[in-house]
Amino acid sequence: MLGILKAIETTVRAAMRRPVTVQYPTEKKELPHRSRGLPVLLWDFDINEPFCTGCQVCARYCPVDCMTVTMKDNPNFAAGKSKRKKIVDRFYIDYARCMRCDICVEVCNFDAIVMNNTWKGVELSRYDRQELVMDLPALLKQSKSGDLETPFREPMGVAHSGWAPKMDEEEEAAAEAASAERHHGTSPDAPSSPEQTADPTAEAPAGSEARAEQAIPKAADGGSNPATEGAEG
Amino acid sequence: MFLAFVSDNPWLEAIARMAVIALLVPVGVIMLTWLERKVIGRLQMRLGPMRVGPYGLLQGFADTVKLLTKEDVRPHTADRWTFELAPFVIVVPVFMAIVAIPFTADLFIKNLTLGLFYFVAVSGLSIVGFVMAGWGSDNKYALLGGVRAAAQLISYEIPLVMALLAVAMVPQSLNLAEIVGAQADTPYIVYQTLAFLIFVIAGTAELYRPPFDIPVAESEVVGGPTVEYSGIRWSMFQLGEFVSMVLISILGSLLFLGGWNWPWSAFDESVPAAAQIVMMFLKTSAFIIFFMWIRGSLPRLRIDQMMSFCWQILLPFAFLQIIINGLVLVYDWPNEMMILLSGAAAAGAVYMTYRAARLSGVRYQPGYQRVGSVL
Repeated sequence: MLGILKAIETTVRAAMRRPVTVQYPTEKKELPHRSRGLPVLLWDFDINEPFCTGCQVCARYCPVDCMTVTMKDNPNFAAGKSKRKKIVDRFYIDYARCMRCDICVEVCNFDAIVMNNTWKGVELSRYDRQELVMDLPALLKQSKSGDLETPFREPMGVAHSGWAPKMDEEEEAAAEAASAERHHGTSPDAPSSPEQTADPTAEAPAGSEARAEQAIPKAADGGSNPATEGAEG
Repeated sequence: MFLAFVSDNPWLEAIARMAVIALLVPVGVIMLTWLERKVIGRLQMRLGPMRVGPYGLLQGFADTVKLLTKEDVRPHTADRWTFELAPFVIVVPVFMAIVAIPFTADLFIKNLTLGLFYFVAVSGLSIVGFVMAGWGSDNKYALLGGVRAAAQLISYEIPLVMALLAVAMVPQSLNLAEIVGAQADTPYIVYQTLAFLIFVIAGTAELYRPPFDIPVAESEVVGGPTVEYSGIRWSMFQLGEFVSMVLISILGSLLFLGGWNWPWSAFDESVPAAAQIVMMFLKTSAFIIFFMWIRGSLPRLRIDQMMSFCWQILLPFAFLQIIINGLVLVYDWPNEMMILLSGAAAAGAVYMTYRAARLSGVRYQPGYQRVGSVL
């Protein structure tokens, strides 16, 4: 009985609040940085060629076999402009088949492929599914045009920790800083400066803290870290 | 000249007036479906329709076009004529009831002396349509819904009519225009609080809108009598439902809120017709929004709760209101006495419902032997 009044009050309160609806096609939520759209290739602006060398490791690890890659000799290497001896020749990804597992990004040795973290990575409706087979120009287009501003790449060492040669903490921090500079255009001198780490808004230091925590158990296999011991016990 | 010719011939005039109604009312209903979706949306922190036209204003028209172009399916085993005529049996009485409704002091289709009586008599006919739809569909859910509709509508018709009768006792007239004219200084919601409460509750049940949507409950009888209908026949059910809602709202604002009277019309008789229309529109809209608001707030009643609430609370208190009115009028007690008694009775009705709802979970206690009763 009193619940009736309570129910009426609840709906009035709800009506007074701002509607939560986002009018999707005209108004879009900001995607999270780690949003996992369909994979695209990255463009190396320093040399003006793709990062991808066509090594096919992504195609071999792809669980749904959606990729086809071929490589060729790099003309830029012959001209002395590039360090890459081989470069990608043709690259096809069947977006209709891709399951966005992120494995191609994890196994790539050259950070050449990323999961698209913009709306273009998910708004891919087509009338014919053949049109979802992307070729090399289509895969490179977004990165090349500068539309893929901040691609998310796992910091070096995390994804590779299973098989890549291990780095010690200092090396790792340096690699992290270099990676952050390359991808975000900032150069945090990561864990050394206390002011930087105290600032919660700085993206890279926060990331490097998380990285440092993950790195500790590997470095402290001997059991010298009490925090890790406590967690394990 | 043409207008003069039309108004000279009573048949032509009647046809012209009905044509205006038949054209205007569906457009109004189309806008009401839009409004309902908007209001419910806002109550749930959504926006409601936004795409078709500015703020989705044309959504109702798009839906209408869709409904009109859909296939009109009739089940193979349906009773053909019962099935096909049922929507008309629902819609026609609703449109007939519009005839008696005055919109301002001078704007009406027909100023009937027994307008209230006519309204009640005609609008009660649409029950037949529901039973026809339920029976003719040859579908067990439709039949269940039809029987539920018959039970609910007939039950709630009684307290509704008693409440209306109680109101009609005060101005001693069944002419709707006269009833409104008698409320120039005070609307009857003040004198007849109990009757107003009963009217709103029984009116909601008459419209089978939530929380009284038991005959058309989607989760119980998958839409009830309308389950086998599609296309234009289904939209006729919707049309009937929305027009009845407007009619009950207009009736409520005429009988309880003072109709087209502005607060100062007791002192100044000459309120312009446009202002009267605005006032009617505001009061009717308040009722309609209230019905939509209730729909967005309350869950559906159980069928036994619905029935026992009607027979054990609404009906006795409706009679109580009539008795109060009779005493006050016969013995010429002052009007304040009517306010006092009706208000006290309304408080009593609210308390009885509260007590019943509180005790409904308590079972087999020595003091409360009548389990299953709300009293």
